[in-house]
Amino acid sequence: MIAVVKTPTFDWEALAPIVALGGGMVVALVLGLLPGRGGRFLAVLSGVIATGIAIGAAVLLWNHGVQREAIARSVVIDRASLAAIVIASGSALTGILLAARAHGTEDAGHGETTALILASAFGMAILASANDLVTIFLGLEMLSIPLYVLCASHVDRTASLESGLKYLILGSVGSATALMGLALLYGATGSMYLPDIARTAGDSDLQGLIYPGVALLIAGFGFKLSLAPLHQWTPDVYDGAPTAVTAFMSVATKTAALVVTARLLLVGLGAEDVRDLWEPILLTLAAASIIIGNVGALGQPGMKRLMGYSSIAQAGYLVAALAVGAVGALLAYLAAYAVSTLTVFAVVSARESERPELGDDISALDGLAKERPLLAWLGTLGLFGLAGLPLTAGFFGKVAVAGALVNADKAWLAVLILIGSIISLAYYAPPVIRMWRTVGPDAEEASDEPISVTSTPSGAPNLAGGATGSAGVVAPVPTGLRWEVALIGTVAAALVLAGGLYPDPLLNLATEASAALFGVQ
Amino acid sequence: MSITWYLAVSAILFAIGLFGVFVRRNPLVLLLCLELLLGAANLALLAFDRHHAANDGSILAIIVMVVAACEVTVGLGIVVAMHRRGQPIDVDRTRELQG
Repeated sequence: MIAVVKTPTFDWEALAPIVALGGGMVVALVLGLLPGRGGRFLAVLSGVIATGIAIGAAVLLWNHGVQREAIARSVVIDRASLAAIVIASGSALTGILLAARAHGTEDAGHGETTALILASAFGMAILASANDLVTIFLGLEMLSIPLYVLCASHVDRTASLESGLKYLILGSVGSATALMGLALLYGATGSMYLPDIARTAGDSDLQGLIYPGVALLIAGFGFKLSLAPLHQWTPDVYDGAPTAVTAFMSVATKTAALVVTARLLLVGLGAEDVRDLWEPILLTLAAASIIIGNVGALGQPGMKRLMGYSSIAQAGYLVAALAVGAVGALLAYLAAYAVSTLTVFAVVSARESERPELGDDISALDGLAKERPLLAWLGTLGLFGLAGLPLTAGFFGKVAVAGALVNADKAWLAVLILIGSIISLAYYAPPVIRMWRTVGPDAEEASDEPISVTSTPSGAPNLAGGATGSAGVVAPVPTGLRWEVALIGTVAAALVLAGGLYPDPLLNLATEASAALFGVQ
Repeated sequence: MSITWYLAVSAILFAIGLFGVFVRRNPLVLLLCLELLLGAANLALLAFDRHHAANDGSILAIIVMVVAACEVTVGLGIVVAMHRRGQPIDVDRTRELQG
């Protein structure tokens, strides 16, 4: 278009959260090379600091009401992208802390694990702020490729490798489908920038290509969001991946993909005739996800598979809000979903290191209330938050989504959400019952195990697998409760409860973020 | 030549790639099919560039090539790791995870 090469303008102030994640990635990778426990401590510490700076900077920018184009016109920092950055960084922090002393992370490398989680969070921040098609594709791949590696990072476990391969192939099909959609969109409008696409849609002679383009785009992002007909990979990958990675990706991937889809569909393709195309598609996918996710989760033996199916249903609720353009309700429910899911995974991860022979099996939760009352409270809050029971943030999130659907004359979907939530009690309740009921001699035996809670991360945690040279042959040794897991779980659970007791701030913040999305034109 | 022909070839390539992904069993062939999908998108992008007399599509096409290389690197790494563990290199026989 323009013959003269123009240097892009960088707004470093607005880019601070993204730079923090990218910088932390490099630092963690280098510091992780140091030998012994020092390397592990410094790698994890730099990950924690990087995500902390990213969250802090995003909050500051939010308070200043920043809304500007940060790199030329390609990256927009506004309250919608800042909300996604906060959720993605928070789940990256959780993932880093859950992985810090988990089984298998030692073999995968602490520096590498932390750096890959930060790299993926960096991609999510880019994706959520993307304002043109090139940046969307770049962010999508920057998010996905580190996740493929993370899923396969426990190289001595067959399930981990298989989940990595499965995610790589199906995820790449999703990315390629989305790319084809982006290409057709570019062909139909002749522009890469979302605001220009909104303006020029309808001018070009190839205008008709916009319809297959939108369909392919929704299919591609449907893969990433694990929406119903494209969901098959989800339970397997969630099950096979290391628990810390599952926790991170179940929350953060959805956040970034939903925010970018909202920006793409509502800002770039919000015109009436295009909207008539994508709204019914999204509503159908949402309804199918709610049914398939909730029914599939029934009777799953493992917590991670259960969370996999549950996340399909939750994606259905979220996309239902997106389909009617209710970004405020979408973000409110997304925040509630994020904190509830992270709480549950913190408990699953804590139990995995205490009862490694059971892994993530639901029976590992037997008698948790007697052994570890704190974890039982956290698990109860997290699961009830996901079910959307009153006194949790999930309740108000679901009310907001259902209200938006009723306002948009889609009451049938609101009813389906209600039915789905009732079904979901049938699989969220059994783990809670297991935690609280008194059990027989099995639990007594387990409570005799030595419990060591170290007080500093540089202290001497009895990390299993750390001393084993031959990978995969030695069964993992139970470790005590890891304090950093309990800490992050408590923080997340406190947010679930805070959102349930006092929901106004959450709903106001979500409304502000949604207003920002429509502000840049 | 009309842009329709380029788009037709691109659509055919995409269909072949998608068909291959769902039919073939060998992870190496699956990776090839993924390349075909990305190649189809690249062809469409370049055709649109000529049509609109713009260059944004070419930039995206170059980025797609870099990304395709990264994906294949990770994919081959996982296949090698599976082979080292003596796992069958066949997606139908990887049965640890039941779908």
